[in-house]
Amino acid sequence: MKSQPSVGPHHVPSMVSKGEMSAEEYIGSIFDRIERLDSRLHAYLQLNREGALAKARELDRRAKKGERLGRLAGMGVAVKDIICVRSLQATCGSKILVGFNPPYSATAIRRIEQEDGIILGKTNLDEFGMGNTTQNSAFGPTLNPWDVARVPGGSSGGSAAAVAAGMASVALGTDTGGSIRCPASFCSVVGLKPTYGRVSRYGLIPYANSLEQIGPMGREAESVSLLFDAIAGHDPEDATSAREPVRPATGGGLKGLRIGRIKEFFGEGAQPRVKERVLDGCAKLETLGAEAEETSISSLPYSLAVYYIIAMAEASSNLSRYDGVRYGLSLEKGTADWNTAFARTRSEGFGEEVKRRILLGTFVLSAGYYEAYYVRAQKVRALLTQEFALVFKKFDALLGPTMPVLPPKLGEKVSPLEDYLIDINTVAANLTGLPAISIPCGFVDGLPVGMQVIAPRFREDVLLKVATVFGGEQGLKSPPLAEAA
Amino acid sequence: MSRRVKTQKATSVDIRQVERLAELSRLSLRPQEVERLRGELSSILGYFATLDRVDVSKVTGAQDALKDGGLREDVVRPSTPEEILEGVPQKKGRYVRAPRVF
Amino acid sequence: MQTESRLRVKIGLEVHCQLTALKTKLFCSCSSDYRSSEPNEKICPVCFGLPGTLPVLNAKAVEYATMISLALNGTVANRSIFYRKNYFYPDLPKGFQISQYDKAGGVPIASSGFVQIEGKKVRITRIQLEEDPGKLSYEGTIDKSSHSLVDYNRAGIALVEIVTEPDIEDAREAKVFLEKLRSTIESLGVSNGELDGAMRCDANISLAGGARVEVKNISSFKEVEKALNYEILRQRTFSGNAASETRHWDERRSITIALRSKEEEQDYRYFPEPDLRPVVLEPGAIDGVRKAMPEGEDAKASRYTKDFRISPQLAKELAADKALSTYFDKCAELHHGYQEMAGLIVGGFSGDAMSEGRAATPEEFVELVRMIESSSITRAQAKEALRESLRTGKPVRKVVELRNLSAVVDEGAIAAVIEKVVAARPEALAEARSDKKAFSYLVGQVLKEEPKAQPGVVAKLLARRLRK
Repeated sequence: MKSQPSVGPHHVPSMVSKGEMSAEEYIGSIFDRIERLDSRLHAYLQLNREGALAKARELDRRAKKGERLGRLAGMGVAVKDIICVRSLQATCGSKILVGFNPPYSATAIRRIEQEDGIILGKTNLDEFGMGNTTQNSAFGPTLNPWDVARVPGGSSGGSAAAVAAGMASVALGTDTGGSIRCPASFCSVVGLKPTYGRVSRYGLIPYANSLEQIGPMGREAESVSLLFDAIAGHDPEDATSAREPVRPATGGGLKGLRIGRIKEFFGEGAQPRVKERVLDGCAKLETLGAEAEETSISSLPYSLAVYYIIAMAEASSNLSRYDGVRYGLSLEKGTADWNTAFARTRSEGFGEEVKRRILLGTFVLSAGYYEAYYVRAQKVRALLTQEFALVFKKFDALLGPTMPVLPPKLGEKVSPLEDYLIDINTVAANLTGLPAISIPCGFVDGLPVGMQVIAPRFREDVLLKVATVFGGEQGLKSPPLAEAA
Repeated sequence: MSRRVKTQKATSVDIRQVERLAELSRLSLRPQEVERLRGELSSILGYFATLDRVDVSKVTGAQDALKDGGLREDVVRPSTPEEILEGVPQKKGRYVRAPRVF
Repeated sequence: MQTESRLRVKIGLEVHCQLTALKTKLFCSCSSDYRSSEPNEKICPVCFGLPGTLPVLNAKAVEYATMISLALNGTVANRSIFYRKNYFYPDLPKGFQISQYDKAGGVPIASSGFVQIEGKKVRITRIQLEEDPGKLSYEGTIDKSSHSLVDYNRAGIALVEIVTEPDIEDAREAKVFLEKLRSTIESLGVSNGELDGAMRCDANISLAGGARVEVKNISSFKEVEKALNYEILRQRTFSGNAASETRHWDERRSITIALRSKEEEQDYRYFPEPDLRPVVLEPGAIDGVRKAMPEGEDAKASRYTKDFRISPQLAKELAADKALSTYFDKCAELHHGYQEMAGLIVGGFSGDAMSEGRAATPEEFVELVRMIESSSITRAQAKEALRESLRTGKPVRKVVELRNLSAVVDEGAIAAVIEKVVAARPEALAEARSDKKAFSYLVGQVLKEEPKAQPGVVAKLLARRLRK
C-alpha cells in the first residue's frame, strides 16, 4: 500500500521541472489513491484520468528537454463541478444539468493549464452551491475524511475532502456565503475566498453574482498561494473583475500585525470548545509577533438576513435559464406547451433547497416587496461595508472562528432556517467583498476546527502570510481514513 | 399579490402566495409541497423581518459598490457555433426546437 | 362617424431601433451582421445564454446611444445602470433581458427630449439601451405547429428603445413622427432603418382619457398607420370605454386581436444587473460626443437658412437628404450662389448620383452654376446637361459644348416670341396684368416656344410689354 506522497504539494512544480520527480508517476499515485478512497468518500463526480495522465507525460517530456515549465507544473487540481472545464461535464450537483458539456473553459481553468497545472476531475457540491454540508447534491453526499459519519461542510465539500485525503494536490472551490471556508474548516484544510473581483467569474456557473468568487484550497498555505497567484488578476471577459495588481507574498514574520478579534463571532451561538481552539490559535499568532485585542462590528448580527435576501434574489434570476431546451436535462419529448414543459423540467431537475431559494428570491424581488426586502438589504449591506472599513483603520486583520460548530453528523434533521444560521460568521466577507481565509487551528474530539482571518480589500497577501507562518507550526496531519489506506 | 409598495415586511405567506410564486418562477409543486413550503417560507421571512430594526437613514450610495468601467471594443471575434449546437438536445436543421408557445 | 367620433385620441409610441452600424452585439463579440446568415450561425456561449458566461458592454454602443439621445434633445445621464427584466420565453436565452429601467432606482441612458414635427413637439420620456431577443418561428403554421423553432442570431443585438409621451393625435401624425425619427437617427450613421426589422414599434392608444390599449407586433413603419387607424376605429365603437389590454397586430388580416388575458399582470421583478458596471458619462465626454457627431437635420436646415439665406422650405428639403446636403456643403466652399445651387441640387437628382460625382463633381457643378448666373445658359439647360452627363458619363462641360447649350438673351428675339404668344392669347394678356399666376403662365408659354430663352429676360420683357 502506497502512502500519500510525503512531499508537500508546493514542492511538486520545482521537482518536476528539475526532473527530480516524474509528473506521470505523481499524478498516477493520486489516481491510485482516488481509486482506493473515493468509493467511500465520494468527493469526485467525474474523473479526467486519461487526459490528466497524458498532460503529465507531456510535462515530463518537456522537462527532459530542459524546457521551462509553469508555476503549477505537475500539480493535480480538483475542480468543483460548478466551474466549467471544456468537454468535461458540468452538473453543478444538479439533475438539470446532466449532459451539459461546456464548449469552453473558465478563465481560472485556462490560467491553471497555462501554468501546467493538471485538471484531475470535477468534485461534488451542494446543488448550485446552495448549502453548507454537500448533502444537497443530487448525486449523494461526500463524507468527511476525519469522520465518515459526518459532513465535510459545503458547498465545496468535494474539493475539501479531496484535498484533505490527499486525492488532489490542491483544489478550486467557490465561495458565495462561506462555501470554501466552511468545508475548509470542517476538513482541516486551508481555504481562501479572494476579494470580490480578484478572480475572474467567467466560467463560474452563478448562484449569486455580487457575492461569489472562485478560490484555492489546499493542505498547505504555500500551495494555496501558488494556485491563487496563477488564477488571480483582471480578466476582460468579466466586467466585474478588478484591475488591482496582486501584491507579491512577503517573507518574514508577523511582527507588528494588529489583529482584531471580532466579539460577535465569539457569541453565544458558537460552541465553547470551538471558541477555545480559535482563541488558542490567536494566542499562538501573538507569540509569533502579532498583537491582538477585541473589537466589535455592531451590524454583524444582521448580516445573515442580508446575505440570504440578496443571494436568493440573484439566484432566482440566475436559475431562470435552465429550461432543458439548449442544454442539460430535456424531459419533454411530447408536445406540451412552453410554460407546462418548462415547469415540469424545472420541477424534476431542481432539488428541494434550490426550489426553496428560487421561491424566496422571487418573493423578495416581486412587485410590492422589492423595496422592503431587496433595496433595504442592499442598504444594510452598505452599512456593514462602512463599519468594516472603519475597523480596518485600527487593525490589519480581523479574526474569529470560521464555523460556530463542529462538523455536524450526516443526515441530521434540521429546519432550513437552522441550517442557514451556521453561516453566521462567513457571510459578512461576501457581503463586503473582503478577502477571508480559513486556517486549520486544532481539533476537538478528533474533529477539525478552523480559524477565520479577514483582511482589507485586495490584501490576500496578509492572509496568506498569516496562514503560512501559522501553518508552519501546525505541521501536516493526515485524516485517519487516509492514513489507514 | 397586492401592488401597494410595502415598507414593512410580511412575516408569513399563504397558500395562494406560494402558488403565485411557483407560477412566476415556473415551478410546478404538488399540494403537500405547497403546504410544507408555506411553513418554511413563513419562518424564513419572519427571520428576514429582523432587518426592519436597522437604521439605514444615513446610508448613501447603496448601489455604488462597483465603479464604472469593464467595456470592450466593437471588434468581431470568432466563436464555435457548431460546437454549441452539438449540445442542443432537440434540433430541426440548425434551429433549436422548443415547446410550442400557444 | 362624424358626431361621437371627435373623442380625443392619445397615442404614445415605443420604438425599438437596432444599432445596425455596430460590428458586434451589445454584450458579446459576435458579428451583428445576421440577416444573410444560416440559423444559429452568429452565436457564442454568451448570447446563447450558456451557464457561466458573462456580458461585457460594447463601448461603441454607449457612444451611439448617447448620439441618439443628443440628436433627440434628450438629457443624457451622467451615470446609468442596467437592469434585469425577468420573464420566460423561448427566444430569451437567459430567462431575463438585460435592459434599463426608470423606476425603483433605475436610471436609463437619457430622459426627456423631443422630436419636432409640423409645428408640434412630440416629447420623449426615456431612451434606453437593451438587448434584442432571438427569433421564434414555427414548423408549418403557427396554430398547427407542435413545436417552436428558435434562431438566436438576433439574440443580443444592440437596441435603443425610445419611448414617447402620448402626444401623438392620429395615425398620420404617428407616421410623420416615425419618419422624422428614422431620418434623424439615420443621419447620425448609427443605424440603417431600411434593413428588415431594424426599426420596430409598439403603440399605446387611448381615447378621451379612457383605458390604454397596447398594440404590439407592428413589424414595420408602413404597418403602423394601418394598425393605428384600425385600433382607433375599433375603440370608437366603445365610445371611449374600451378595455385596458394588450393586443396584437395581425398583418395578414389587418386587425388587432386581444392576447389571451391573464389573471395577473406580468411581474418582471426588475433589479440591477450584477454582472455589469454602471455607465458613467462625464459632462466632458458627452460634449465630446456632441462635437464629433454629424449635424442633425434640424440644425442643418437652420444653418442653411441663417448662414446661407436659403429659403426655409428648400433648406428643409436639402437638410433632409444626407447625400445631397453633403454635396451641397462641398459646393458651398467653392461658390456663394447658395440659393441657386440648392435649388438645382434638390431639383430631382438622386443623392447618390450627386454625391458620387457621377453627374458632376463639385467643381464642375459650380462652373455650371456660374454659367447660369452669367446668363450664358438657362436653368433648364443646366438640368438637361446634368441628366445627360449622368447618363453618358461625359463631363458636363463637354455636354454643354457638344449640345451647343446656350441661353438666348437677345432681347429682340425674345420680344418677337412674346408678341407671338401674346397675340394668340388676348384674355391671358389682360389677366396677366393683375394676376401673378396668369403672368407665370405666359412666361411658361414663351419658354415653350423658345426653350433656350433666359427666363429672367423673358419676365423682364413681358412685364415691359404688359405696361404698354
